[in-house]
Amino acid sequence: MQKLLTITFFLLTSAVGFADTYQIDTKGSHAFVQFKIKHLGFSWLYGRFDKFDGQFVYDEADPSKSSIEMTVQTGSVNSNHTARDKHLRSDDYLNVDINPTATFKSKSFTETENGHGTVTGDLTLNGVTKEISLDVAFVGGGKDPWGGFRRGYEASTELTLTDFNIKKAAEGQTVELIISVEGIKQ
Amino acid sequence: MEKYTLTTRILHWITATSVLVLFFSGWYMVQLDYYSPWYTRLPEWHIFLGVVLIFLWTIVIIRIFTHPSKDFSMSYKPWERFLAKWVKSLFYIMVITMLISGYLLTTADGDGYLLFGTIHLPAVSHFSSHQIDTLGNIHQYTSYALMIFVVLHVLGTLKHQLIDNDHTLNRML
Repeated sequence: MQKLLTITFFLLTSAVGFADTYQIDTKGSHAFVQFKIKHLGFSWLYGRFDKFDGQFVYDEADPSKSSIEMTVQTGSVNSNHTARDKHLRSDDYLNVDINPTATFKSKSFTETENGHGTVTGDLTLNGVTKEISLDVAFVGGGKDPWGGFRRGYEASTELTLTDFNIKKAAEGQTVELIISVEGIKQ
Repeated sequence: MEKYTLTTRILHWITATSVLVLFFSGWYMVQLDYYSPWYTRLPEWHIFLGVVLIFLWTIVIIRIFTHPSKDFSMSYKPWERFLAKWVKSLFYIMVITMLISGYLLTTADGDGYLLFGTIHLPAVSHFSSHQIDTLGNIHQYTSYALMIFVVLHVLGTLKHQLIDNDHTLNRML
């Protein structure tokens, strides 16, 4: 019995030990939720969400057990144009009074090589939940100069705006989401 | 029959027209399609007319004190006088609210607004997105309230013209 307990204890702690939780470094602003969308088909317009938070779990022993959760404050949309941002917050686009947050909760992560991979999960945007996949590029990880341990990724995907009931979106109009995160190991 | 002074009458009809044009242009421009040629043009004219009305309304307000119009109200019933006084005061307040919120919205990014590429409207302050949305709601809902008062104002005039058969409308013509 004693032995069984010890083994169970070791299994549990080792599992916890490998699956590290990383807090996304929004405090030091080493994380960005950005988008780009075509303007009239002539140029790329870049924008971002200034307020969000989240955390991810990375399991070195079994990367498929890794996961991420993020919450974005949709009212913090910033495209460097006051009047446009006001319009983006309105019910023509993000409807931030009714849907103040957008969330992403991963369901699976497939690591390919060099830490890169694909993450699949549920994105809730404008009150609509839809499963999406993002290409994940591992940027780097290791000890930081101040005694912590960090890992960073950049993920991107393309969304069709009408899938999320964006009222003023043209049929088939897409937006590219680029999410850059640095996590601090807890 | 004694009329209002010519200046009062001119100011009344110009500002009345401006308020109506501003309401309908504002109501229409927010529904315009992005690809409409008026998408950028109409808001610019709306802002221009708003700025013109700021000047005219300043004159109107100053004249309340310097040139108080002759009081014709003694010929009316007490409840009519009471209603007229409050509707009129609220009119002044709502137009001021519309002009201030409109100006602040136009210059909300803190950099001012360049009208027609030449006229610089200086910014009063830089507002947060939450404040901008609040200003937007104030601008939108005050405009609806103002239009309800315009309708009441016109109905009152029609009552005096068609039912009471007095000179209320003619004094302003």
